[in-house]
Amino acid sequence: MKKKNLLVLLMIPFLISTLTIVSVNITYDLVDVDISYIEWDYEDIVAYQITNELIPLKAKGVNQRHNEVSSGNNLVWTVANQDGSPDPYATIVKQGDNYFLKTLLEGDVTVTCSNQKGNVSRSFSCIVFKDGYISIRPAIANSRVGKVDETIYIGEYDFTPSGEKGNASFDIVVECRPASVISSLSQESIAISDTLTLDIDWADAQESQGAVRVIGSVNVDVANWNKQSPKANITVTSTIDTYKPGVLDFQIVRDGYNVYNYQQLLDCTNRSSEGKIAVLQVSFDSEHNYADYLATTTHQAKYQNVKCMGDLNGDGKADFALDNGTVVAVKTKYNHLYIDQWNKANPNSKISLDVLTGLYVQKDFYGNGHSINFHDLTYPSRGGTIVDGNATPPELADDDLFRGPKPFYTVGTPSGEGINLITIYGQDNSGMYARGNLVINDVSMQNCDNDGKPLSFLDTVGTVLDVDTDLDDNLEPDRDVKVVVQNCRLSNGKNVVRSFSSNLLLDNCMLSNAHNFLFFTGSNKFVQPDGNKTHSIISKEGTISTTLYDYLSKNGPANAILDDYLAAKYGEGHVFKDSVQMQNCLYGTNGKLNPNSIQAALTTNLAGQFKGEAEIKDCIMNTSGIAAIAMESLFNGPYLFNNSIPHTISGLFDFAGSFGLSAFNCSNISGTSYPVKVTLSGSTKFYDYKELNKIDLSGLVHEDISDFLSLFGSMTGNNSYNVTIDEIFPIKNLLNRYANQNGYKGENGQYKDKVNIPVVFYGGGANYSELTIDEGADLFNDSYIGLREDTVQSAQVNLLDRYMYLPKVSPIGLVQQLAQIDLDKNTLIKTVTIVTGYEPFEFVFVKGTDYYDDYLSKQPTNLLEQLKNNAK
Amino acid sequence: MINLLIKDFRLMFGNKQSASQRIISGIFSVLFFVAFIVIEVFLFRTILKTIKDIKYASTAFLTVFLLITTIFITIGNLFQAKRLFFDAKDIEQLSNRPVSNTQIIMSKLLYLFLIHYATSLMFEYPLFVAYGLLANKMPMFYYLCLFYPVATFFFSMGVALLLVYPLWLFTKFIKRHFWLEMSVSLVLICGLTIVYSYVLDIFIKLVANNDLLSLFSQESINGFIKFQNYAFPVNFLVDIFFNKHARALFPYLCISLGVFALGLSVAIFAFGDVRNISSSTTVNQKERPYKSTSVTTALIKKEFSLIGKNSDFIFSYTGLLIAQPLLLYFVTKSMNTVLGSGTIQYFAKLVPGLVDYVDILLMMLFTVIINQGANSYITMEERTIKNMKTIPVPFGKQLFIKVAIPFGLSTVSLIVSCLVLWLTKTITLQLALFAFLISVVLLFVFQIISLWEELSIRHGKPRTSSMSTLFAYLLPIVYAVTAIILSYTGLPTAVTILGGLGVITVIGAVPVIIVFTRANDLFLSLEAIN
Repeated sequence: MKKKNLLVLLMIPFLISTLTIVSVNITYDLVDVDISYIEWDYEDIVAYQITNELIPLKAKGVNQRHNEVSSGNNLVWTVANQDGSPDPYATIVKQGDNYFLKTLLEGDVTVTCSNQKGNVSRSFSCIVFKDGYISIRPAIANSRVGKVDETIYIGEYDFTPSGEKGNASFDIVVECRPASVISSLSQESIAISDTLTLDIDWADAQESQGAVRVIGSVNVDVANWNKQSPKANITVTSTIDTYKPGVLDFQIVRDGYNVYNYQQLLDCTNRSSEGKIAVLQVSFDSEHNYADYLATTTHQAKYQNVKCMGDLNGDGKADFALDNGTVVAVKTKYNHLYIDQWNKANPNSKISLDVLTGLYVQKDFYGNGHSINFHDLTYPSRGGTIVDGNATPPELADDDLFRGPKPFYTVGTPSGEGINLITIYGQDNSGMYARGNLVINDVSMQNCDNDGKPLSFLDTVGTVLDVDTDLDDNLEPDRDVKVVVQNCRLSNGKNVVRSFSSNLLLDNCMLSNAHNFLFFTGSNKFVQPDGNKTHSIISKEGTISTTLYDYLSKNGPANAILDDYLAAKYGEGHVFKDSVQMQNCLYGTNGKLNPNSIQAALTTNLAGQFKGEAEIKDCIMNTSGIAAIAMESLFNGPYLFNNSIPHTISGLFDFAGSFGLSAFNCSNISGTSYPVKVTLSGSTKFYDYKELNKIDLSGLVHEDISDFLSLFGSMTGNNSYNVTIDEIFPIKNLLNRYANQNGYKGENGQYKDKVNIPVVFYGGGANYSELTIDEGADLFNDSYIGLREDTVQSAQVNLLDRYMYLPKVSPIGLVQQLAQIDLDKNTLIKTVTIVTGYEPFEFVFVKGTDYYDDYLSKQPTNLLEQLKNNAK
Repeated sequence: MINLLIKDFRLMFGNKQSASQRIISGIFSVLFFVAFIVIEVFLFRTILKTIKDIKYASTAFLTVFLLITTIFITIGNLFQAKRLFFDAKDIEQLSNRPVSNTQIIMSKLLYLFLIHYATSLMFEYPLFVAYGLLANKMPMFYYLCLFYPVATFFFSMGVALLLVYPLWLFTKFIKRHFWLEMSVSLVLICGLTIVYSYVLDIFIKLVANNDLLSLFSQESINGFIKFQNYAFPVNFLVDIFFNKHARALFPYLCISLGVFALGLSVAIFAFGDVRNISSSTTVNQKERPYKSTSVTTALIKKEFSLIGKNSDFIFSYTGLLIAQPLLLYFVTKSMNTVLGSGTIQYFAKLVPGLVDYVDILLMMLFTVIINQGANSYITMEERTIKNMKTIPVPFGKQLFIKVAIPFGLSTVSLIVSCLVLWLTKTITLQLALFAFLISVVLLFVFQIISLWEELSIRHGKPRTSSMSTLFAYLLPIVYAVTAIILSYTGLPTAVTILGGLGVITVIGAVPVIIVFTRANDLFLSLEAIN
């Protein structure tokens, strides 16, 4: 018996699975792995006596997945007087790598610890005292990701254990030092707002490390909102004057419900038909991070400030399901004509019209600086890995709920069976769906963990926040209805914020890490082309008067024209003598619409008819895959009006049908989107420099052209076909030329050769949306952004110009013979344009060097501090 | 002393293999070692990189890895010591030589130390290097680690020597009882198969599903850190070598030297005892009443007896035949999972039949490798070859029974394996049928070639097994690689599989025809041993 041989055989699965992980070396552009939060043992209020001794400051930056963090994540400490007085009450002393606090004068200071980059920080309030002090703090600590809005919000109500409404109450900790202070306190020492009562027994005081602590219970009871103020306050004063009194200020949120656990969060959102105002008192993190928290926290269960985002099942995993309110299905309002036609023709493989959301919010939402992490709902359960810079993409398991956006249109089969050559995306799932006239304040939301994953890993995690102010569902935003998102930090989504047919104010927010866009806006409303209306359109016989139904029919002129376009046939024996005539027929030359082109006939002029507005004020836009802001219009190519032509494509699917790959005929499914208006105001900043060749367009459309070609290539023996998204959308080279010509690339060390694209107008149909930069905005400066007569200058990317001159490549002989079609790689690439339409994309750049040198470099490096300074 | 040491090396490494067999054995040893080290270091590095910022976690995981290798090395030491101290021929040779017991024991201990040092260094030093590189250790660290195996020797070998005599007694006892031996080997094989499946399942889930890092929550890491306290003796050694805590040196030395002294005493006593028994006793052959049976039945019974007792009892041919369906199921299932996960899916898409070919390859390899346990048709006979040549039974019948029994058993096991794979939906019915056909043809050809090699043994030289090795390993691998290439170029999977079946049949037909035509001459030329 050859035991060794058998052992080798038994080791093969181990070895191969290991090698597959080790050998996969994909050149992903990894996002910096930053710390996710700062861990320390300090309470929200700490007191130090004035002394000559240095007080060591200790904290640890933690990445949510314990990954090695990138440079710029060392912790640094700062201190500031709370009253703004010029003489410091305390200073920071640095000795080597260690930081110390040195107390100087009696007063209150804020001690802040942040990473060097400044995108993560945490603070505690510090009382510097001489003789003694009294402090008051809520028993549940502040969020570990820090607050932007310093106000503490307390809801008017709590949920009772049975889920009913009850007056709010919460515990506070009163701390005094020296211990003798306690004897000077009595009921008379307490001054309290008339909306509150305080149950406290000084006799329960417990001494620890020289301080005395008593836990009291505050009860909220507002009898008359017209006469009583939402601002509330508790003050405890000693009879000994030299001891600083303790003060706790907060604000009571009228009709607000305090949320202490996941069930209460659902009761305010998904499980409430009209919604309830939610006031978070704890954070909600992923199951993995929650387990980490439980393993390290020293707080008893009642006072823990982190809960699991999701229902934990018997295996300790967070479970989400549609039938128990942990996930809500919302019918998409985006153009779903294609899905409707598909579902009608394919009743056995219907595509759902619902998008999913983790939290369906209809009333105000106060975060109190707490965080919500939707990781277990949104991220593929076969998570990707990054080891030594090598990335293995995540994969969806069968039961994962978030599986990417709805299809707007698919060339091929959208249901997962058969070939899916190209899919253009519709609406995506979301972590939070906010619908109504409401405010979302000071919440930190992310769709998945911060673990330095490449942005392309975010492809199926959905939008972080989708807003909807179209309450009557007429595809237009309701008048006087607006979603205000303020003081929030939103990160890690395919798109971070999406606002379609809605009114939105994004005020003092930080949006980070989007695979596509940080802010994605457009309109759900559109005008379909009238197929019976007569247009003048160019044809073989010159400009003819015809209807779109006739022109784009199988027997109409367009069939041969589009075939010639795909096969790059111009000259004798073909419809047009040269490419210019062809361009004029399809769209026009030099990026200008020809009124007699096919595209013009498909388009309705909707200039100025805005169906949605957004103001982005004092925000920080930080790291996108393509651009910070995208204003979208529907793709509107001739193929979407009638996909039974041209013959090249229909023949291809007839041929593919012999392999069991079905084609689906649909008609008139697109149109011209109503425009939206976006205003940039205040000190909105774009920390979004990237190398042009690293712009990741793979999240815009799904394409299986490579696989499709290899399928045929395997029959013909030619497997050399390889199509990338950059060949389909050859944007980078065009932008590169434009950026070089206009000096838009950065020239400094860190931003050298990188571009910063704040806005893109995107979509192959006419895009009438407008970008306005408020005159008071920091960006309104000709040296920062190209301005032309008060309008923003943009770079046009005319794909049609590019496609027209694509050379033919080697034909796939066998397929050509079998299908009797002229098919090559470039034909398939050009298929994309007859789907998308020919309107150029437009990109708005900032002037890389000036914007950085004269503006960004002069901003505080601590981004959270920037938000705090701007907090309203 | 040096002569004794050389003798011990010959005893442990010298065997009756031919040069080609030794080369192949060497290649497989290197393959095993490399594969093991790759997996070990990959896992270790990945874990360490994940948890290196957590206090105590790095040394906790190093302790776990070292403990696992220490356990395996100690088990290896145990079986080495058993063979070294209680080999009957060795004891017999030494009994009439003027060598003292002390010299013999010392030479064996020296041998065991050298082997322990080499093995430990091979399996543990890569861990130290990986750890050192990640922790930016100075060159002194790598030098000090060379002494780690010396430190582990006393404890590991002490435990091995303590257990060696009980193990010898146990194996001796069960070897006398065929059914007990079978039962024990079956239980062990089933147990090991279950453990293998469990470990494989976890590994595949973690690695193939990209979920390796999810294992390390703060809670589980804390668990490993606590476990470190109980991982004796490795925790002491990690303290000494990695944390430079000299205080751990004294207790470790006391405990390990104590265990070693105890083990050595047991081994010396046992060696003396066994030596005396061997030189003073003769084995009593049990008289069995004569029972008249047909020639065919008698030959079949003899073959079963030879097969059953041929190999080391733990991994006997029959035991592995029973485990084959399970092993094949676990390995095939995990390979299918691996090939259906991550980026490797892309390659699987490019080669439509990739997964099928890998499954067929595994079935072919398992079938022939396990069958190798029963392909020493003539060698197994040893001194009874002359009986074969003189009994009045046609040679064809004798050879037919010799080949047919293992062929039949392997075929039954293969059928069960195919059924298991099909019923568990690991492979399709069509693939199961194809794989069965192709494996059975390969098995038949392999057995005929093995028979040819056996019949060609002359002048007491070891059997030349290059041809059977080519058919056992090279042919299936070449077939799978060719099939993958053909599939990549677009040939349909069914055509590739059926074509492969045809090619293997044609290639195999040549030696089969030669054996059938020359069997008589070869049999007559066999040399009888007295």
